[in-house]
Amino acid sequence: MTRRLVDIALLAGILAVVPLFVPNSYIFDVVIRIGLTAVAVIGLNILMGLAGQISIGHAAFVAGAAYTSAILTSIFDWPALASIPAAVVAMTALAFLLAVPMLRLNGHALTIATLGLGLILQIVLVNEVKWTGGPDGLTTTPLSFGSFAINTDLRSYALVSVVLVVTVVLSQNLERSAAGRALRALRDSEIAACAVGIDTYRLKVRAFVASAAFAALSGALTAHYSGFITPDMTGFLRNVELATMVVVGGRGSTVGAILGAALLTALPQLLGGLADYEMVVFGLILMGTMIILPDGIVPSLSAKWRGLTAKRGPGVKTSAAPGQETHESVWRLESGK
Amino acid sequence: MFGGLRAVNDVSFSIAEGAIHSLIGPNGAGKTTLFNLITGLYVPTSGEILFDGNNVAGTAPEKLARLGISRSFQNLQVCMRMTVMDNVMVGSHLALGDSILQGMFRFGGARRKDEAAEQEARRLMRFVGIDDFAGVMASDAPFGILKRLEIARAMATNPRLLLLDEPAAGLNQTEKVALETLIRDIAKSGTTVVVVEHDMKMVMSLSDHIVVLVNGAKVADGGVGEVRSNPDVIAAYLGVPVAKVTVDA
Repeated sequence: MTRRLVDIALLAGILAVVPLFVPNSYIFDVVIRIGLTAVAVIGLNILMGLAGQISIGHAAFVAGAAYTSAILTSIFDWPALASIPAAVVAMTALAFLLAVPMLRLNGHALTIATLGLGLILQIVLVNEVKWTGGPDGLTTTPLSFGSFAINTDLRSYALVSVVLVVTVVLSQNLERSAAGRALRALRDSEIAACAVGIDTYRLKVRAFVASAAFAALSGALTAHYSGFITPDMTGFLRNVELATMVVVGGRGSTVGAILGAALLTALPQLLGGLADYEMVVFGLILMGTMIILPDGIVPSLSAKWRGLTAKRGPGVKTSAAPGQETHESVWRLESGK
Repeated sequence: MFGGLRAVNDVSFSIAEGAIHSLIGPNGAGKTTLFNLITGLYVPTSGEILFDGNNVAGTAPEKLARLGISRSFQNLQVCMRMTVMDNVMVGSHLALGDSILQGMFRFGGARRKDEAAEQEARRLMRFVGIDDFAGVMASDAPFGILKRLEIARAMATNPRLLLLDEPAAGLNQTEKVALETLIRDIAKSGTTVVVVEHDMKMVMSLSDHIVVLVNGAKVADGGVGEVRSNPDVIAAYLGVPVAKVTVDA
């Protein structure tokens, strides 16, 4: 209980001091984007880390919500304060309708179906020029509370920080709840899960919808922060990137999700000077991480720490696992992209 | 049927409430298959499985759990990346539900119900003797502990019928004695127990009723004495004498 509060206070403290160390508005932009992406990745971690179901299509919900909110504000003159919740609700409902048939699939079949989802939305966004502006994208207006517009770096940062802290609290509550245990049971042994009465299909649908809701929130906020959105938001690379962030940070770890989002958002910026070799170095770093820390950064390091201190207790959550699902090996390869 | 093979063929027996039943037979007799049929993991090609007079053949495992049928597994089905405590608490699923919103926002007495489930899990862990391992990651716990963890988890579902698939396999003699006491205690608490077991000493001392399966068919069904003296059972376990040797000296 108290440990949780300490964790949250620590995160809030870090978020509060970060602006003091940001040298210019370019870096500030990267930091804000990390926060926005982390919200989606924490959501995806509910599906991939807790429930063990791999989706490489969640950028569709990010982009779907971004476009929904952008269209509602620009064409229907809604205020962003109303269009953001509307977009999240719409994407959550869409996620439910898609999850009902899709979650009948297992393993790789499900993963491929989610990829299809991401790519189909991209095609729609490129072709429905009248609504979406096509490949050129859409401009958006900043979110405002009455006359108080979120139009400066610091204001955007503050808003994203609050949303991120709330997301972390919700995610950690879930992880420790009965539903969280049921999700992890489903991930580790579907047979054990159904033997104790867990309706595994229904639970997978719920996890999918919950993760899509966070992706949508992230997307709608991103739209109004960035001022400009394009169909690349749900391109192949972006879809794989979101899933890779979960895997690199460490599946099942909320802190890992934030770290994964930070690393994969910041790395391409830092490697910008390498020009054409950027993707090569990027891939090598990811491959190296997954070889040295196969369970993702946070779980692998905490397992090593556990081994060093040999302290065992209910507070320790994650561990290197024998007999992980077969997706794992595929994912180690995929994440090298 | 598995590609034309009848794994369990025309087996019929009944289980009395509150008693300890054993299902025995040589390897490959179809004991685990029968458990998988009863718990809904397999769907029988034909036949009926009556529970409380209702045919439950082909019902999904999670629905059978709701009706009060629970089991342990011969090849462990433990959630290795969860603590022993969390594994046992998963057994309380039906009492707690799996609402993700409730988990995130902790409304509707979620915390109170969770604490009650934790108390119950502690009680069950003491009952099966694994309470020292509560906070240990399942992947770090020894085999004997995980075997008993499965029993505790199955008990946490509050079952009326508990199926234990080779609970004594891999246990040492002391652990076997403890297990026997444990199974008796479970039956005493009103839960009907069916055990698949190879340890004959344990089966004979524990069972109120024994069913013998050989090659997917039932060859005997009855009390300990009855089954012990059944020639078909002796043949299945010891083989049929080919020739009688009489020696005169």
